[in-house]
Amino acid sequence: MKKEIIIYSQFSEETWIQFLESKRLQKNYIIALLEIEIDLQFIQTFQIVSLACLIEEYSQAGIPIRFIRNNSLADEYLRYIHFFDYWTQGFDRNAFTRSGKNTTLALWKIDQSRITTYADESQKYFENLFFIGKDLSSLHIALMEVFNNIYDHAQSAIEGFALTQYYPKTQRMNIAICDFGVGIPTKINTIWAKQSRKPMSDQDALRAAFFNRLSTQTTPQNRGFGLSNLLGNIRNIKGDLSVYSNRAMIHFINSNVNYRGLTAYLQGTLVRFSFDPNNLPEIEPAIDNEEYFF
Amino acid sequence: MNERITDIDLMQASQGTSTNAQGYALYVVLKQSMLNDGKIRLSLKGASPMSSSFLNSSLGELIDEFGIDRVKSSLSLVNYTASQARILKEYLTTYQKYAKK
Repeated sequence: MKKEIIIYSQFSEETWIQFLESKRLQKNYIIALLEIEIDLQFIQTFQIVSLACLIEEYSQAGIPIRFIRNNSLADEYLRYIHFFDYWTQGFDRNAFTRSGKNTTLALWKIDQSRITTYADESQKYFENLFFIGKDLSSLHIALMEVFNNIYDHAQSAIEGFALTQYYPKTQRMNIAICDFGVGIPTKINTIWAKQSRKPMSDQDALRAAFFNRLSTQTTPQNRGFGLSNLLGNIRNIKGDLSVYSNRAMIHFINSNVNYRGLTAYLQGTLVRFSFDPNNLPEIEPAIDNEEYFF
Repeated sequence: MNERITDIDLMQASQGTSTNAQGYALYVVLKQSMLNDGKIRLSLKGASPMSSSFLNSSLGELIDEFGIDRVKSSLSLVNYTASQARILKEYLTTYQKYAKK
């Protein structure tokens, strides 16, 4: 039996989550082939990373992947960022591959041994090429917080995919990272159940993960600072952040927070953040003639 | 009486500032100095941005072991940027607010 994923119309973030849910690999289905066609003028960062996770889910189950190619702008863009190559024989997933567009890093399948390198190189790449004299530490920290979250908490067999891109025309950096782990609300409620605490709704759990210094103690070092540090760094550069996980979403823009439940369910976590690089601070000189005391 | 001061280069001690493992490497070095009852002058020269995992595994562990007041009074920074000092100060302040003890 062949399964098809055909994308020819635009999605909002929420309808995309519904779409993903409808296409997830079901355990009892026998599928001989996954066929994908993407026929769009524009495909968004959050769609690319989550679609990559979805395809990887099928691939890891041993299901062959076939792409129906076309002349759409989205297909061309995906080619530039080596999207299709991940499921093409001979492609070296362990190498950092140069993108065909200098404003976008190639799609990256997250690998724990190289998360620091990815964050370091992303920061240096954009600082040196586009934002000379500007400090992209906030990007570095935000990436590391999400990556560390995946490895400390997600239990994701897919690990995840990341995409970092710059749109010069709209002056916007867009970053998206997706994993198919257990999801933040599930993680929190699982730990709380073990502590005989009353479970929270998915949206309350997701909100609490950012504000209440909730720690799942998945590793002894966890102290519940990761997501609030992610948010703080994005707010420092006046960026916005959206997180979708299980049956909840939370959206931060300026000082506003909007969180609610979703009708669709995402087993996993999709993080999307963006900012205007004009809000980046200047690189600071080191203070080398004065000792700092706490 | 001259106080013993140990100069530690963060990047030499930890090789990075992103992961739990890097934080732990720094913690081991800082702990040794704390056990010797001396002061620590920590150089942040060339330090990359610090994640919460790194801070938790280094400073967080140190605070759990020695207490916030002892860590604050033992530690100073050199070769730092204003942002780095602010981030570390915020971490210590926030930790103090939310710590178990």
